[in-house]
Amino acid sequence: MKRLDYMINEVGRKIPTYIEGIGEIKPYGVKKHSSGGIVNINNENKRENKSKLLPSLRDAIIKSGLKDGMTISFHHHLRNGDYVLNMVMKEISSMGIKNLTILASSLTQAHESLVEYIKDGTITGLQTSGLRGCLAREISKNCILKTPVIFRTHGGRVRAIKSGDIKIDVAFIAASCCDEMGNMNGQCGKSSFGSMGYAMIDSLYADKVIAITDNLVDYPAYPISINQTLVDYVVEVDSIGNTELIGTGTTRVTSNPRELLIADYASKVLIESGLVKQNFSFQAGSGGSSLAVAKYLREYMLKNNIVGSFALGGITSYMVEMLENGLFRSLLDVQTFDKVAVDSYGRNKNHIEMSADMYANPDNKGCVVDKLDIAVLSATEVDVNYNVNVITASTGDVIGAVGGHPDVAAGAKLTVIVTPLMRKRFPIIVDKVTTVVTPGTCVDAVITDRGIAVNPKNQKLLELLSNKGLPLVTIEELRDKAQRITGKPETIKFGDKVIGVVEYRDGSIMDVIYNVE
Amino acid sequence: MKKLRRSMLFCPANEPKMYIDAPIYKPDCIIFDLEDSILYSEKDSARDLLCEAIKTLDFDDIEIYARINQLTTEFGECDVWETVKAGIRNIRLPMCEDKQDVERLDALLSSIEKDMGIENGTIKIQCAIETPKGVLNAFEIAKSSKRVTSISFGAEDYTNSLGTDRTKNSIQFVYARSYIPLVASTVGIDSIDTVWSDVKDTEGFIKETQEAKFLGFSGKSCIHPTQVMEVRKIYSPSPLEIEKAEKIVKAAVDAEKEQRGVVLVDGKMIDVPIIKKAERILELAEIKE
Amino acid sequence: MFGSAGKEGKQDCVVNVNLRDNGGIEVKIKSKVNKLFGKHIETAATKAAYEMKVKNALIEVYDFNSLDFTIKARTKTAIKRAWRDVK
Repeated sequence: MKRLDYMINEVGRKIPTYIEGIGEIKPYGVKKHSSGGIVNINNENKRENKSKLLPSLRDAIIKSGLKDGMTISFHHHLRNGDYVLNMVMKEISSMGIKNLTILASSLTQAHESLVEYIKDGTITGLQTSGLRGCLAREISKNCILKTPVIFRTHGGRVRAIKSGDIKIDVAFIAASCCDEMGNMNGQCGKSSFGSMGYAMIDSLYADKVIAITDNLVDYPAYPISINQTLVDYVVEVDSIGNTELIGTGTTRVTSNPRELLIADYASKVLIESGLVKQNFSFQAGSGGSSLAVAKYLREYMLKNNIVGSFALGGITSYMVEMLENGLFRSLLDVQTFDKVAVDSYGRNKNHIEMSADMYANPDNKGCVVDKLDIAVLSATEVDVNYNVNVITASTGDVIGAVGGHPDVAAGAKLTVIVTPLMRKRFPIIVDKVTTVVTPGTCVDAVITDRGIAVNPKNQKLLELLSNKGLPLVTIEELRDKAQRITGKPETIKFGDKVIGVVEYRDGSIMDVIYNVE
Repeated sequence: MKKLRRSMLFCPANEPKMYIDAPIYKPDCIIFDLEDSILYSEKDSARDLLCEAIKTLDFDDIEIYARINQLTTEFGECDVWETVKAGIRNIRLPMCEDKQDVERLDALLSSIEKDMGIENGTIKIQCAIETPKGVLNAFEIAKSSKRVTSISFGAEDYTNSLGTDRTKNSIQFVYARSYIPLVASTVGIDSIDTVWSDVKDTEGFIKETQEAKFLGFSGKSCIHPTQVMEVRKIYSPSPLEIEKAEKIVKAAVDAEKEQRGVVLVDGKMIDVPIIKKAERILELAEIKE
Repeated sequence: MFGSAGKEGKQDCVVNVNLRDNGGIEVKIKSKVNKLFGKHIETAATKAAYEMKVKNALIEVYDFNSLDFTIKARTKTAIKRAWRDVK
């Protein structure tokens, strides 16, 4: 039965109110009837904005509707030079808002102020990749946070957001270049920091997105890492960070002989594995032995005319140099560590900014770590089952971050851990790590300054490395060697309060961290 | 297998970290110094530290030396007694100028060995030749005792004695650096070239070490781990050299088996010195028979 | 009689020894790694004293990640210096 009621819309056209095959019709411009009929679809969501720029951070927070108990997020691309998180928290605190959960991609030494906001109840939940310094001590010794910190990997954080495990109410995204509509990047401006890889997921899933910049440019900004369709408000501040602490100028390969020795052993292992060949891919660290391996591989690649498909990271000027010397076809960059690397975006099309989702989320249609051939990673401890700790020290203190470690280790064809056998008096190879972050099944070899241990599950690698003049030993021998030199330490006494939970990239719990007495 | 002495790493004996870190670079020898690098007021603590380290730590195959203070000082004899009792088996004797210097140490070592009930001659001596007189007397010094396993040239004190400077272009000690290896070779002991003190100038170090190798030195003094690693590279034969050497040694072994007097490789006659050189190459390549 | 040996930092330790007539061997430790290695440090200093045939002393160890052999050595040197310290 067709209803042939009509309405006259705002341009005078006679429009049926119901059409078979389509359903109820909303005529153009028709306002709400007093009888409670059709509602104008262009209500408060109507975007008449010529500009999203607000006069102050406070205005943006108010407009965002931030209330007690909500979750806010930040990225850590400004590293130790970040001003933004502290700036935002100061404002929020002065507004009297309480019980917030912070979902940060990570927290650094720049974020000690959070101690105060935890103590006064502004913050009651923390979810991050890592904790350091005073903040870490207060949480792990003095239990200032009532709920455990959730530590997630870079990939795991994305998974958790996408799957709804955590919902972001307001995302605060610092950008070194932004226009009044919210198109932003981290490549231009005085506080440039490079890739915005960790912030992208926040911009897609947060209810409200506030861009904070110290470099407001004419519309449109370019390049565009996060576009205006995702941004609600824009705020300009004097400075988003301390340029000296955001990143150094260049990253030099270490000259520390111990680190070079370890890197030399590691590069020999990688070369003998047969994986350093045409089109291979590689994840380098940002310093120490991890980066020095790149130097030794470079020599081998030059000698053998090898060009890699991509290098992944954690991108530093050293890797940019390798790109520009034609040793890799591309760089996939989720975090840019120094100025030279930041500038590289401008001149190298094959220096590619990458989201943490693309990098490491195990639940999407394919992430880059699954294409990785070789990963060189570090550790605070490794145990005889090859489980790796990167977050706590042997003293039980939280001193680092899980980062992309478990993601990369899970994806790479060959994962090696480079570490000295001892640091000061602490053995690094132990019976049981204090906290498991990366499971031993993902680790192929441990390379130390006093010997190399190959995971027995990788017999092929063991065969390839035998009789090559390398100091091969078992992991138990490494543990014993360390103990003979340092002596066997007492076991740390933990309390019974869970202060941290280490979530694996798939959302399951890898380990828990108790308070230290 | 003959002990290789390609790299001799100097470490001040009063630095705990040195005992822990130095071995990871696998120098052939480590010399813990009680002499020049130790302040007068710390001579006792350096000695005690060396003794405890020797008793406790495992240095694997690395040959450990104590560079004692000269026997004419108030510390010298005590250095020898204490360190040998703790387990040191190699003494570096500084400023050897003539055979009497060595004989004095030899006698002291004999009495310590007797006291400890170990075989006479167990403790070995490295003679440091650091003055013009020492260079001239190198032959008698090298022969003076069965304990002498190597002689080492020290350019710094040598050039000071000569009244000139130790510079990187080493013309001042052309004679000394030519003479020492030939003395050592004649007597059948090792010779060690001098220290290169500019740690940052790796290129200069490499050049001087290559020279040392050409001059016939068995090894080079080092004061930094990177130097140890460079020495190893320079003294390591290339794969081609190793291949050639293996061929020669095999031919010599075969000739002996077949009781032939003449050794032939690729149709060419090979003399004893060439066979010895080939054996030396295989030693440096650390190829175990 | 007082003697001191060792240096701060770099896996060394400063050991102060006060020789006395009674009270046995007493070891006081100041170290960042006391929780993990306190027992080792105490044992090393005590052993060193016994090996020197010292039965009564107050030994203070200011430790900077030193290993046992360092603690023993510095304790022994400190004891010898204490013996030389005759007033």
